Amino acid sequence: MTSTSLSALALTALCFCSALGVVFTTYLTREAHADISSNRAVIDELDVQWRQLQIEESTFSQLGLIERAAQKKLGMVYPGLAGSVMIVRKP
Amino acid sequence: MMTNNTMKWSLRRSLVLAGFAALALVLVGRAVHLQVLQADIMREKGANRHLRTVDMPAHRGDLLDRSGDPLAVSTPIDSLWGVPEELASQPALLREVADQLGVDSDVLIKRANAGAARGREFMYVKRHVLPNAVAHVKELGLKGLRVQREYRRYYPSGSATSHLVGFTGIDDKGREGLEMAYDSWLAGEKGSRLLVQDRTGREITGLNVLKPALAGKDLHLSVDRHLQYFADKALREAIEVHDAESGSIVVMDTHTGEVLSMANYPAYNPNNMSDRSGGRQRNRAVTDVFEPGSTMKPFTVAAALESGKFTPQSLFNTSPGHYRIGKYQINDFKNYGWLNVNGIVTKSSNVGISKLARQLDPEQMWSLLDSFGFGHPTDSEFPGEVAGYLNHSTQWHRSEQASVSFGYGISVTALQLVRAYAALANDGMMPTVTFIRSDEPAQGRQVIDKSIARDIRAMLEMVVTKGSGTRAQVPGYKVAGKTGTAHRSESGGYAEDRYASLFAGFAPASNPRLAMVVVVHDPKAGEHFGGAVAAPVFATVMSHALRLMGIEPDNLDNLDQLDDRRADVRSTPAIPSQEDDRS
Repeated sequence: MTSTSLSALALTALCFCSALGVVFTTYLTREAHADISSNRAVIDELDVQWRQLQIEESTFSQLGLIERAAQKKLGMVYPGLAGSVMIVRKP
Repeated sequence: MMTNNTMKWSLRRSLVLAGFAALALVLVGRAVHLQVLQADIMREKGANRHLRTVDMPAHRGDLLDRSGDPLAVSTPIDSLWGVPEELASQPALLREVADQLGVDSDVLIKRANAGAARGREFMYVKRHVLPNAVAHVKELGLKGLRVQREYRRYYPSGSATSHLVGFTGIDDKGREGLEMAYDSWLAGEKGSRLLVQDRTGREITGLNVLKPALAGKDLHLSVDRHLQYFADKALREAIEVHDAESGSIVVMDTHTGEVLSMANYPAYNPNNMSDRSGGRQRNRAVTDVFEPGSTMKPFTVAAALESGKFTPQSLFNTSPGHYRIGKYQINDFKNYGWLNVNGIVTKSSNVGISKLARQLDPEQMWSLLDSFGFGHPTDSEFPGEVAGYLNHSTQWHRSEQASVSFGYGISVTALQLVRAYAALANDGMMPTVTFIRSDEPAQGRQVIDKSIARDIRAMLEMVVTKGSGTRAQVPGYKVAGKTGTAHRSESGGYAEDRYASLFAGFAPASNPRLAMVVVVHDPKAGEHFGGAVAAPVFATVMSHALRLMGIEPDNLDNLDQLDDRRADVRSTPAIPSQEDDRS
């Protein structure tokens, strides 16, 4: 075999390997992409949850709600001046 | 023979070769036709099959109060849509979907058929469906049902912040209030990306992001949501007790011009679209004007002191308690006799202030009122803000200078009035109004001399300690302010029995931090004086405001003399006021 045909053979083999490489990386890309998509969906879902929790938190922490619960359920009253002690820091 | 044979074969060979060449040419020609001449069309057809541009939704920024609690939050919500023709071809499934979504199935099918008949490409099945409900509906397997991500706005504080915050339309654009004023700041920008999909719409691979989605920016407002609650509640209760028609409260930081609270009645629930009828939507504190009555007197006095002709001790004879200018008669509640300027303000004498005003240069008086911002919008950028009304002094008719001096013939918004009082409180430096939390105060404007502002502050303090505004007292603090009771103007004159009850003031008087205006329109339950209707509301809300803002008490001596009125407007013990205010 001459050196020319040897190198032709080697190049052919390399060419084949690179073709396989292309196929493989495409496969990897798609897999990674599927990952991204599902992660994006998770982010989305967590975002929905976070915002709903935020709304829930601020709805339940409304002063009106707390005041009503304190007065009606727990029978609490505003202390009034007689019932409060004022602490004043003297300079 | 031989030659003949050879010739025959060679001819046949040429013919066959020519035939092949022709076929090859046809193929090459076709290839050129498709790949060169029709390349664009073909590329487009291919792309149509599997390339999709998909929107990337971007949510609107949140509105937060000054401590970072949410006042308006966007939460993702889905809208269902489809191609009418595709939907109309599956009536049974469509009916099921409609039932699941709570939509009238007959109407939906009719709409799908109508859309299909017209060759429409798009129809909403239902807008704004909760994401988990969408999951259920999708399980029914209606082909061609697609989901579009949108955002819906929630307002956790409900009606208490309704006017201030405003609301957005179904397209997520601000339609009222601060939602509208800061729409471009809050609005997100939809992005888009290109991707390859298979036949069933699953994403195979993403190609690139054409435009990144830009989420809207959050906005920290100056309003305090707790104070807003107390202001709204106190206003509602006062309106109920006094059987009044409407009202507004505005609280402002005197140094920074930040609006800490702005409440109006009637209000609406911004989470409920059907609750937005008529006048309920109006932020009366900036869109409605009223005649300020006696709350205008301190500004007339400011003009008098500025002129250099008068001091707080200058004397005026208010006898016999009425004063005639042309056909116009000015009355006092009773005959106060001789009063100095201090006394005119504390007793709220219309006769006294009119006699004072008539000795002032109209031009000078007008320009002082003008520099306090009356007759101009406050540049708060609040949608629908009005300018109020103040005639130029050259157009004042004979009695107008006198009437303006006690707040008739001039109309203001609650926001203008609170800013003007903030200027009196802030040593004559009028702050720039803002609804945004600001850590460093914006540049204000010096409208009167510091010493004049301090003189007036002392007079206003007397109004609350022993004048018409005693019910505005707040335990532990010195309060300065002015009551006002104005006849409401109606077509062709003033109503005898319809009033606006006002209180404008600030606290703590020794080092003012908060200014506040309370206006209650048309109280019908008997009491109508500003000192009786508006002042107690001022006291309640101001005591909450001082506590919430952590402002140190400056008057521990009055603690023993006052009962606590913090609990409830209705349980307020009536503190006898020496003089009720009439103007």
